[in-house]
Amino acid sequence: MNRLPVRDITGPVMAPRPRNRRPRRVNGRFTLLRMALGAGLLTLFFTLPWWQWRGEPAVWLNLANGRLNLFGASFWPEDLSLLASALIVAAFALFFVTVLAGRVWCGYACPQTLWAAMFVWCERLTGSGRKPHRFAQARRMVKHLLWLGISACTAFTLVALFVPGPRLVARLLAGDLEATTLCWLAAITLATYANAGWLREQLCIYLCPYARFQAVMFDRRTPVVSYQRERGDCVQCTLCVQVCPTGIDIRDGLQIGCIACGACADACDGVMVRMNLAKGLVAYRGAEAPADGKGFTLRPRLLGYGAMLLASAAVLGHGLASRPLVSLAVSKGYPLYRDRGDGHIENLYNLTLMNKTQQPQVYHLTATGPAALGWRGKARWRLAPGERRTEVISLALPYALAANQPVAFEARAIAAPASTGLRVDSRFTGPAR
Amino acid sequence: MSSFWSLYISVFTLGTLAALGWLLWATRKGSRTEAHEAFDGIEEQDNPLPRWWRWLFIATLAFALVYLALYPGLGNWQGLLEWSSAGQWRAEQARARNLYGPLYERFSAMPLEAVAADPQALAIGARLFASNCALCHGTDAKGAPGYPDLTDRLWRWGAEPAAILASIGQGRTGVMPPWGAVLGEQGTRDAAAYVLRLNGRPVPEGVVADASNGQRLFTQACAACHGPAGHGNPLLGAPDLTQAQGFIHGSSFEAVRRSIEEGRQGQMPAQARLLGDDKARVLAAYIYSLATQAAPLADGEPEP
Repeated sequence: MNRLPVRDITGPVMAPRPRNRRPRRVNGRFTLLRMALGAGLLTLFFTLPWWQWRGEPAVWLNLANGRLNLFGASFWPEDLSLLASALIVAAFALFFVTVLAGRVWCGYACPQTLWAAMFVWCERLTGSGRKPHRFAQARRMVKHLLWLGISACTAFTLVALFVPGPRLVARLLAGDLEATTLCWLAAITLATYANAGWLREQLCIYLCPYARFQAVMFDRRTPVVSYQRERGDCVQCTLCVQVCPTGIDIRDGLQIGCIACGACADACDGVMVRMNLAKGLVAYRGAEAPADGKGFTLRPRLLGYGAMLLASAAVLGHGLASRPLVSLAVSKGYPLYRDRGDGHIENLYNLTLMNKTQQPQVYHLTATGPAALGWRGKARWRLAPGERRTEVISLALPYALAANQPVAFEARAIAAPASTGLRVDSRFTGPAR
Repeated sequence: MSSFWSLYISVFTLGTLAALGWLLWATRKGSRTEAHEAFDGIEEQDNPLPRWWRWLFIATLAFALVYLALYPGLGNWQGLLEWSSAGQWRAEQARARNLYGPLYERFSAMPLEAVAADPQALAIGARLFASNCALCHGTDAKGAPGYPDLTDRLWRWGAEPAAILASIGQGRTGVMPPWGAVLGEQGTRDAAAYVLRLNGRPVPEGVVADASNGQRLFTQACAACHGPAGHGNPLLGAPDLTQAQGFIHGSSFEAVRRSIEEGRQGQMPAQARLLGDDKARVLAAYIYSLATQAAPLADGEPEP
């Protein structure tokens, strides 16, 4: 059995770590990539509540109206099945990336890593916690203020996805926030402060489910950060240990604490260059080298996850494209039927129409059945974005044709493509004969 | 609850708590040393409960005692907080009154005609109508056999807003007595023929009826309530017989003949005690607006 080098880490990792250990600074290509990607993602996150789309927040979880704005599209509670599809797509994307590139999500994109990095950066900036230092108290205070500032910004950004940013700022300045909003701001601030300040990599090691099962998805070509013991030219500088954000020794082999950030590879390469030795003693490497010497080959597992990713993305895409942008509910009114006294039997219907787009719409409503139906009531409805309205509609049939039969109502946006039309079935009731 | 059952429940409840407390006390030490049970090399020890677990039990016992003191649980004991489900319901009602009271106060200060022109009142009225009235009077308020059309400007009990409010709040009982035994079969047919003539309709072919005799019978029997000219009387709820669309039990000769022969009864239930005066008032304004303001549903709709 050729197995990936795995080591039982329960002993060393569970051992108490020194408090407030801070990874040493490192330079290199992976670090540069990580910082660039992290800066981009953080910018995206912190600016998200301020993006506008046709006068509305681009991303807005409007709980009061039960609506999610997503760049011009509105989603309603009945679209929740799309969320399941989106989560399945996200899961397969994660699996696919894990097989292809290992645990790069953890090292490069996971909020836990990014926030911990931001907090470590604050520590470095204030130089607190390193040695006995002048103004140590003041420096520590500045560090905690910076931490709290970042935490407050995080809380503000998350809450601003529910209460639009400009409104939240206005209410904060006016000091008339609801107690709930204030509680959420405080809770998220404190949770971020505690999480990125103290919990940090312990979450990755002890709590994160992905850390526990990601190795299952690996195959023998999946690149993992690994140490080539057989090269035998390690100079024992221990820089790889000092720069590790989770505090492991990569020379012990792949372990659950490794978030594949590549900091140790950068540190080691720096030393190797200075020592005039070949780079890559610690590097992203598969357990088994591909036959053609390149880093990438098609493998069954990669193809399988790729196929599942494409299939689930297709399901999601179809769901998004075929989602009706109007909702129509039909309920029969009272009485069951009525002799209109002019040779017709009429039935009443309560029609509830909702405009699920972000533009005002005019809808044309029609009813069809086995016989030509007489329509009384509003046939053209003008609805504001998100408006829901109920009207009473009367359908009539001549005595001779007024038997029990199926009818169907159809709502069609006059100015929109045909896909927004919606049919709802109902019944016409006539006197028993 | 009789005092026996009250005592029975109290004794059993408190007795159970006391027994559980004793059990905790009695097993607090366990018998650590010797094996309690041994089978096949597996020994079962009799250890005391872990301390956190024992304190959890003690806390639940304390909670039970505090709960039983505060809330009704021990027979007839009402609890120190004097909580009751009816009281909670009344508190919720009071909250709702405080919340919606100002809204309805505004409407009660306005004359009904003005309420009938207030869009907010009409929106509330439409919802009240859909939940309380539509079942009999129809979703579009145009009535059903035996239930009058509320949009046709014909009123049995008076067209004034106050009369409509009285109809909703206090209800109405309309009685048309049976005249078959008094008028006889031919007399009933004659009277029905006269009623049809009142709203300008001929008797169907093949029916033998003398409308002139009917007029004589009408003066004797029907005019007392429906008036000498058949225009009805809002004090009695007697409908205007000159308007064919006001015949809620059917306007055909046969339906009219049957109404005369067998009589009719109508019952509008009183809503004031169910809805309260405020809502009945908004509802009355809505109904008034239906007959006076709303345009009847037209075929189709003009292009915008």
